[in-house]
Amino acid sequence: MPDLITPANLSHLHLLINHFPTVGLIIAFLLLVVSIVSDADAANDNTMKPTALGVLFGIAVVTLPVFTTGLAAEGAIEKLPGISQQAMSAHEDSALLAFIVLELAGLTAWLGLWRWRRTRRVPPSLTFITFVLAALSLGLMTVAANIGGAIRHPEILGDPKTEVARSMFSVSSAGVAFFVNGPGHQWVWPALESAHFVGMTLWFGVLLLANLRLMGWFTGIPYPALHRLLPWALLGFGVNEISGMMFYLATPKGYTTNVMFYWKLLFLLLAAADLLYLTVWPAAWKTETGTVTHLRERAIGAFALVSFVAVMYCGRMLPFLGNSF
Amino acid sequence: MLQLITALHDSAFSTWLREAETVWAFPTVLTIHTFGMMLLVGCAWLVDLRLLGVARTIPIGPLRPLFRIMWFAFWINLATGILLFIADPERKSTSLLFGFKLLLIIINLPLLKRLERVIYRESPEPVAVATGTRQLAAASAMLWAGTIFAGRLLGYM
Repeated sequence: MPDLITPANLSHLHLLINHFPTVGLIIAFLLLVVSIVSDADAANDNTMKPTALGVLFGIAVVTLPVFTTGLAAEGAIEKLPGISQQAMSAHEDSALLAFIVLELAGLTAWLGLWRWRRTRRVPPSLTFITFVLAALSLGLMTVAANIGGAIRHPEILGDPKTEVARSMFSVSSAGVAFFVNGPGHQWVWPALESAHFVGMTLWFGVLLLANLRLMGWFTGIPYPALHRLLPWALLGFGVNEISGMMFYLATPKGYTTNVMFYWKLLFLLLAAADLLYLTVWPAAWKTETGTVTHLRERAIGAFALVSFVAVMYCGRMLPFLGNSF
Repeated sequence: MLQLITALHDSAFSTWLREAETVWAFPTVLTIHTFGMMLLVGCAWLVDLRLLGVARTIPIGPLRPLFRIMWFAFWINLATGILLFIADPERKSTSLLFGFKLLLIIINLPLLKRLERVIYRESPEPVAVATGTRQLAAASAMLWAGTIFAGRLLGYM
């Protein structure tokens, strides 16, 4: 595995998976639009809207490794001739704003899904907010992708010495780094670490009980009752995504060159997939008091819990295995 | 006392825990301690949230095995906590923050015991959670949060 984590490969990986928040987001957005337009005569069993929301949530999650491989790619190519340093920094900052808005769209999409599972209906207000955020993030992502293309494409840029305009639609990642690590801010990192542990514990607790129920324990509890706890897992996820991104933006090289970080991202995607599974899985929803569950749910639950512990393990080992910090 | 701490610090085991160039010493003990924390506080918060009125449709009776998980995790963390102390006795024994963390746990353990006793006194299923029980749950949940903060900050003292 360490041989896979080379600067060239990471740069390649960034170019591969950046299609999720660009091309993928267009598809998710169109799905959402069609589901809204066709909603007038939608029957109760119409699953188009939850599908669109699920795809949007998935893309929001996958965009996390897209962003984090971006700085690895920067490290890989920044010393090459003909690279526009300025374009890279402008790309990063506009991508950060696009990422933040997309994560908010993912949040409202998840809330819509959660409500749909309970009532078979997505509240119109949530659909509207998700639509607006998805449209905004699509526009911002287009700006970010456009600047990204200028980093190493002289045929697009024309004269490589041409200064790339900085988009006004951006968030300064250097500003975030200063907030976390700047002089006089010594308290920020430890405080964020504490919040990171609180978020992890909250997410794990909910995941543990929900999966244990689907694995056949706690049979006295109907699963739909546990479903009400899921927003607390998402809250933990949110706290950890924000604090985690702040660590990452403050010291990107401590992560991008560490193999444990990539394992952590991989297991994190699996844990997020489990959250989606717990939110919408039909067999889970039909698990009432005393319902015996199937081997399939037991296997998924065991796999999900191992994945979550692996996220913690890889994160905890960042300073010890690999070369971070 | 001070001599005892110094002797502990200089013991072969303490030195090995602290300085061994292997992931199986300090890093592994610390990771197991984190796992125990996640298990203990994760389950405790589930019970506390339910008692505070979140997800009221969850029956309280069947949640009882969570307390067994909590105590299991507590013993893991007592053991790994002692090992972490042995690895760094000089700084831990003089740290106010470490004392504060211990204090929070010492206050919280009887609360946890009491919570279990109070909830499961009226079998099979309490209709409404009494105000006193809710206050107990809120206090215990906050103390756990404080313990996590204090414990995490110990790494930066």
